[in-house]
Amino acid sequence: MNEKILTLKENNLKQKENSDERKQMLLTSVPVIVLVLMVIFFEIVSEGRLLSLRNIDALFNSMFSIALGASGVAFLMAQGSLDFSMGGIVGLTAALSGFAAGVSPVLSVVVGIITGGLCGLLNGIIHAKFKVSAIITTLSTAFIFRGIQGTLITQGAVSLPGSMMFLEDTTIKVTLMMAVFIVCGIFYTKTKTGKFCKAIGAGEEASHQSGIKVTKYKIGCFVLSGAMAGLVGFFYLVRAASASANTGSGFEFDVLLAMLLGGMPISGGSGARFRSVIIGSLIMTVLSNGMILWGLDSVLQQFIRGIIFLVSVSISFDRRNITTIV
Amino acid sequence: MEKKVLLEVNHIFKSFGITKALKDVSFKVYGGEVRGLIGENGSGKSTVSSIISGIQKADQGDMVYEGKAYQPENILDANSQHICMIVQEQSTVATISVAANIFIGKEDMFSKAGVVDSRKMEAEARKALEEVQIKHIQPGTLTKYLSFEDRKLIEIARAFYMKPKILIVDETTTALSRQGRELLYSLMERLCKEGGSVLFISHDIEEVMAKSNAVTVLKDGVMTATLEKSEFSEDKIRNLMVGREISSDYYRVDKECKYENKVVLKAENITHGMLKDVTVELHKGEILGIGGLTECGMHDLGKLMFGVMKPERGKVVFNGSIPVTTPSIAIKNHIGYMSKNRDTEALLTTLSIQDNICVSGYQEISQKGIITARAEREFSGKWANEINVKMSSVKASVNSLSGGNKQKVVVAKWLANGTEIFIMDCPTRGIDVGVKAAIYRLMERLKAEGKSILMISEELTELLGMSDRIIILKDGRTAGEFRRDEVFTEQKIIEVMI
Repeated sequence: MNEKILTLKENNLKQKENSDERKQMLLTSVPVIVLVLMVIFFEIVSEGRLLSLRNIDALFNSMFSIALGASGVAFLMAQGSLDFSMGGIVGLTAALSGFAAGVSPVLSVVVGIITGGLCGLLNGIIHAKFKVSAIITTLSTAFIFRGIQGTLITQGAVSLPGSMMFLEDTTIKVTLMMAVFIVCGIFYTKTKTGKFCKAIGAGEEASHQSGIKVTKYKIGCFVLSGAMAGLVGFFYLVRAASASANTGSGFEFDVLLAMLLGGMPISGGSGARFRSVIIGSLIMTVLSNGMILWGLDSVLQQFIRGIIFLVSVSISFDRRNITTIV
Repeated sequence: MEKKVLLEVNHIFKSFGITKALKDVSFKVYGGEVRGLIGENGSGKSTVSSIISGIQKADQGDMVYEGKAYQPENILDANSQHICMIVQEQSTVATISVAANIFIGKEDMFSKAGVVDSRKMEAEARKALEEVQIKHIQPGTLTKYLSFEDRKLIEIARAFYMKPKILIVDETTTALSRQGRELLYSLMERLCKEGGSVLFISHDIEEVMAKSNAVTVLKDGVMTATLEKSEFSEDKIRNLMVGREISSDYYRVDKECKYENKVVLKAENITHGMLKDVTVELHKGEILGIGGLTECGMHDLGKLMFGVMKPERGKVVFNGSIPVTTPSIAIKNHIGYMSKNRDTEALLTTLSIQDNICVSGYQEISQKGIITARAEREFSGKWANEINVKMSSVKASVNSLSGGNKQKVVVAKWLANGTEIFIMDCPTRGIDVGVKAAIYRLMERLKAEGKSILMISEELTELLGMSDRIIILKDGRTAGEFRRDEVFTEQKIIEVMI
């Protein structure tokens, strides 16, 4: 009798494990399905313009910056942190790179990356040393960076010398994007850096007691996220040939949304995978471009983004550890 | 006069997972008596009292209270039937006022249209405090400004406000000064005169003997005896509490105290929180036991020696010269720490078994900084099998494992990265007998390999069964040291401990 109950219980447990596995499988394949459906949908409503040669060029250009930002912030999100200051950093570095471009093109890139890194360092120190939550920290610093950007750009816009226009080239961008994917992907999946970030997301105290220098990794990942945003800022400048007070606005949400649509859980930890960066950037690119081709007005586009954001956060959040969403 | 039975506890069973906390416990409590409840850590005395007070439910058995069947739904239900408990832990909320704490859960008494009339509440709170002769606490003060003793006094006032017929006092006196104790004793006497009764739980045998009319002794979840006042003797109670043979094949069989002279890890004059000027030396090849009551500071000592916490004063030194200040330095010097709080501090429960075993050993797995999936799988598989973790695969989530197997994963993680010094805080807490024995065997093997173990434990039998030396802490100070080849009995150690 008792044994019978026991085997029944075991069977139940196994079934539960199996259904858990199936659920996990389904969850991880959702982003890919979404991507395919979205491409088909927008291809139809745009009457074939989505995948036309001219538009593919535009798709690459728009994917480029999101992909770079997402690669940088992936490590941070694995830890369960967020960076809302990326747009601010993009704007600030675009302005500073613009000033530096007057001296030399190389200095312009370097200034972009270093300024971005320093902004990230500031975020990291405030978050890790002074224990301010990542959301509050980066929301506040976003305003600070924007403020500096606005102060620097007094005459409408900073313009770029014509000698640097050669960088506005799809081949260069695609090559750079692939290189970033490969390097960040290796760091994320094949080195202890990525593993430690995931561990921190799964449990900070347990990570600390496993010998992970939590503070160091937190600050380091903010610096990476900032530096990547700095690089994006430089390319924003190149693309628009100028930087204004609006440059970079909304960038952080595009990146965040891309990550979430790619299946990155906002709580980090066990479900955080690097492929979210690639799939997410693709989905986000098709979504924004598709909405424009479809002819939706920009207000409605914002509205749709908001809804998608909310839905994907609530689906992706790993509720096993915490009961409310930060 | 015939004694009237107030509460009858009949054949109570209770288990937590695989551990049986209570086995067929029955006793009667009479009106007008103080009943002492005594036993070691984990003997089931807190479980029994929490069942009576409605915090938990028994798996089997029933209770009769004032002649009627008694089955409290929850703690409030028990309170409404005048059975109240003062718990061992702090149970006041620090950020609200004294009055709000006394009437927590009963705010409706003072509210009109959902708004609480705090003046009325404070006036009532003053009455409640005066009822138990506490005059120095103002009902309007925020609780966080009060000392820990005063907070305990508030809990006493809260319990007495409910006009208890049965009051359960669980290890309350340890938090009180002499004056506070006297107050509690006089309140207990008053309650008994009025026909109520008190269930009095304390580690202090002398105190229990002095204050109780009868004592019920629990051992490993079994009631061993109930003694009347005339039968009280300290030795008798102590024997009933601990009188058991240490089974020889479970623990170490040798009576030797053998280890090398070299000190591998030393805590020097550590002062931190409860701990005052504690010095501990762990030798190569030694199993050093640290024991004491739960609140003696021994768990902090483990964290301090691993660098998780920084001591206020004193230092921790590895091999005589290297200071251990952070966990990563400790791990670099092959020190490992198994926390008592396994699920929150020792394991990344949402990650896989593989991730958990590898997390402190990537320097062993990686080649030129690159970690391949295959290397991870083989490494974790090897160490999980080494100590027989029962699992479907190393990819399974740690959460899917039982407590014993989770602990095995923790052990595997430290074995895997070549740890030489193990700091184990309650290594067998909440795990079944089979895994327990496996961990003891492993400890013996590690010792034989010349590795050192610092075992912090609340279980005396385990300390006696495994240690070369035992250091007992009391109130944060070293109270005694025992060697395996000299006097090594529970009686001697308990004398020092309490």
